[in-house]
Amino acid sequence: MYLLLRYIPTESKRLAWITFILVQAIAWIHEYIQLVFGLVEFPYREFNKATNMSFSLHYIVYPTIAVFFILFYPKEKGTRRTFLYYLLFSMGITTYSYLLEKFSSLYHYIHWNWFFGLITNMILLYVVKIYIFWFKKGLV
Amino acid sequence: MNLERWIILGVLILSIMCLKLLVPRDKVREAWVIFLFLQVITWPAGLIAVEMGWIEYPIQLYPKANLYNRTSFSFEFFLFPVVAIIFSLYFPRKKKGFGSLLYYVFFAGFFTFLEAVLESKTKLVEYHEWKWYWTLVTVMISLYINDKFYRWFSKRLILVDLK
Repeated sequence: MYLLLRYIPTESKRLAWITFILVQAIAWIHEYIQLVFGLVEFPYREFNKATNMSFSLHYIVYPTIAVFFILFYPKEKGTRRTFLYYLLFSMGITTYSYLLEKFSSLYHYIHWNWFFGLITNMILLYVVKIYIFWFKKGLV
Repeated sequence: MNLERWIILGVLILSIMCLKLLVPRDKVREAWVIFLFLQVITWPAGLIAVEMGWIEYPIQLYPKANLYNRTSFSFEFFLFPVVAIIFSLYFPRKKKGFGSLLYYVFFAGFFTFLEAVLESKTKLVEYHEWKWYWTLVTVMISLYINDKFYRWFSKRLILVDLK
């Protein structure tokens, strides 16, 4: 949160907002599907009775990372650089969630692992990129 | 499938039709902004209401949904955002004061009425602490915040040629 307020330039504020709220929706659905298929669980969560899903991880943390993903997206770089960029971000997110699973009770993998996480995160980031670049055409 | 699920399905289909009919092609981005931002409000608000035991949704579209998440998915993530899109896109901007208040009361009132009927006739919604006027007030506040955000956002939105 602090990072967002501190480092987003004023002229990209709207772009950051649309990324943030889109990724919230996507992360929420992604998390829901993971739960329905019994792939992961969140033993410790903010809203214990109301939901089995983690709130802040997908309401604030994931969207924040995605905002920076879009902000620093390499536009005129070659395929290899772009691929590396995706790989770097997905690895970051996945490793973060892996560490949470390992050292805290925020996250618990049942039928899930680091590699699955890496692939889904790359796909999600790609979807976000497609949508945001479409949306951006209408922003000045 | 029981009556309750048919109602949700009907409402979902009706909302999709509303979207198709009432959102002009060149307003698609505006609609997205309104749709997504309202979820930012309804998601935590709905969680809090359920967590505190104020309200309950015994039946949901997907039979096992309550095992994972006990807030209303169809309402918070679909129906209400669609209502908000229509609300903000057709807001009478020229009217001041009483006129716009009437517009708010009309939308929120319609929504509250619908929920109250569902509360008393079906098992889709159960009020515990919740009262119908809480819905009225919270819906009006959410629509207000959402409309503010939308107007701030759309200052920099431009028309793009659509193929």
